[in-house]
Amino acid sequence: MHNIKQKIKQNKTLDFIFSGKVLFLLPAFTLISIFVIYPLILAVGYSFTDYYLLKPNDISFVGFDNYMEIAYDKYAKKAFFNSAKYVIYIVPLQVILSLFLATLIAKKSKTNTLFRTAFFSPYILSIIVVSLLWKNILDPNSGIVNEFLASLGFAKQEFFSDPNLALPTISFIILWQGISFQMLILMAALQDIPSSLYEAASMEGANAWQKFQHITLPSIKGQVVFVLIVVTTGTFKIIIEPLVITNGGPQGSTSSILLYMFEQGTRYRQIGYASAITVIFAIILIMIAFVQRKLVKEEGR
Amino acid sequence: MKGITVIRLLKYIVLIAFAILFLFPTVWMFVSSTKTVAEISAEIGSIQSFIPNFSNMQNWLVPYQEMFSRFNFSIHFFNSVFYTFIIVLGSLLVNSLAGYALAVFDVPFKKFITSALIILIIFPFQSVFIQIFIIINQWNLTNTVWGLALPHIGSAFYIYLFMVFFQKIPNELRESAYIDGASNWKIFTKIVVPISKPIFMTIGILVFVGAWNDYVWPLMVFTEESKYPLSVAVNIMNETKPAYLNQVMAGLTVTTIPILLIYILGQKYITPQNSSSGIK
Repeated sequence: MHNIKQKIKQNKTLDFIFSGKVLFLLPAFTLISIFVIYPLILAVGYSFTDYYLLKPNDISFVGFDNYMEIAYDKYAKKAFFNSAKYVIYIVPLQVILSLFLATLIAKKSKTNTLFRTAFFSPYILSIIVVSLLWKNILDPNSGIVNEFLASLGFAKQEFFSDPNLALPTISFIILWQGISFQMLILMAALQDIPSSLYEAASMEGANAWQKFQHITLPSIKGQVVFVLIVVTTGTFKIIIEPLVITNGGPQGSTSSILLYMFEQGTRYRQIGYASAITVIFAIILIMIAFVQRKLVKEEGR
Repeated sequence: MKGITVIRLLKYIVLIAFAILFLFPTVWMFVSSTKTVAEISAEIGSIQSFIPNFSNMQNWLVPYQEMFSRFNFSIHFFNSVFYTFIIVLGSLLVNSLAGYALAVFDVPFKKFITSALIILIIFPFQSVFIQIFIIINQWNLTNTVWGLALPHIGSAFYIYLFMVFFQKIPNELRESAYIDGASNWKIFTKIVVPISKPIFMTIGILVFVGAWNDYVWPLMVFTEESKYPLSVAVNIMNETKPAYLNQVMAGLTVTTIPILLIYILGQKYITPQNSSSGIK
């Protein structure tokens, strides 16, 4: 008996199991296997089938048909293209504006605390609240923005039903909410820069722009890269705003990858097709993570 | 010196312009939720629409009463509280235990498990929700709180954050208790958890806000309207004709207040450092 106990103690794996330590890991391990790893495997598997939600017993293998179909599906292409557009509209502006505002209010003072609170306020609203709020504010008939434009003598704008205007408008709304948090991260980074660096530069006669270029930017490069990555991944994950505000319309002009996948999976119940979109989306996420690793490594040098 | 004053003035003009841009929607939401529909449309486009009507304070809550009775709002509010509670509790328990095991125990294949976790952080819930729905559907968990909550509890990211935190706790603290014969479970609950309040608060707040604001997943899991959380209910409210603007804004305000409270109460646990350090 004692001998067996001794043996168990010597074997790392057996000791981990019999000492009950395994119970610490088991719940999380089970949940993550079922709800993260298994769905990823399912997505790859289903993407090669014609799985239709209501006919789970009638599934056949279709090879790469789903992927080919995406290449010819006008609306799928539009959704992918739109996601790229969201990234182009949102990411650079959000990084630049949050950096700009962070620089203006980084110095600790009472007025700056007030501005900080004001700039941070959109963050406490949930995405659904932000979407519904702006949907009402920009309403073509009774929204305050259009009333304001009209009182200035401008024409009313169909912010959400004009295909050329809808995506930029939704990008603006996302930007409006997103700036706040990124600004806080960059502000904290700015406050960590020792003021002696700036004093030394002033003594050598550097102007404000030179200080920004040679002291500020290099000191916060890590956080800027972080913000860049977070905003890019976040922008690829857009779904609630277009779903709630325009339902992807008009004519699919605001749909995103995730929204299109959601529609194919829930409304049209084409699980096979939706899974092919999932796989492509996962590949995009892997590519972003890859770029992130590279950037962070370079930063570490 | 004159140049500097002009720049300062310009700076404040820019700051005030941005402050107005960031504040006006939220102010309008709060103020409109206290007015009558007639007042809102009469004042629209004027500065008046951002100022509460102080001569009429006794009627400020009327839109709230109307909204609660018209949409059964208290049921949805209770649903949101209940779902969020389950997810926060489950998430803190499950992820802290796993993080602790990886930080402290001699876990077999530890290196492999840790790197697998970091890779899994890449794939957020939203990327596979169609497949998760198939699983929930096959297990007949649609329209149940478990269907909603279970997929949200285990999180590679939170396990990682817990692990990094627990690794910093000095070994001596645990070892002396171990020699005294305390079990691993006792050491965790009696020694480790009490000194780890900051990480539990930070992750608790992140999970709370995420669960409270969740929209797409409840929309997929629930088909019975009585089970909808607030986020889904306010959208229905906005789409139900006739939509009274003051009631909609009251609904949005009620949805926002718990989050506002959480941020005020947990202010010191939500710092940019906390949220960014885990990624790098």
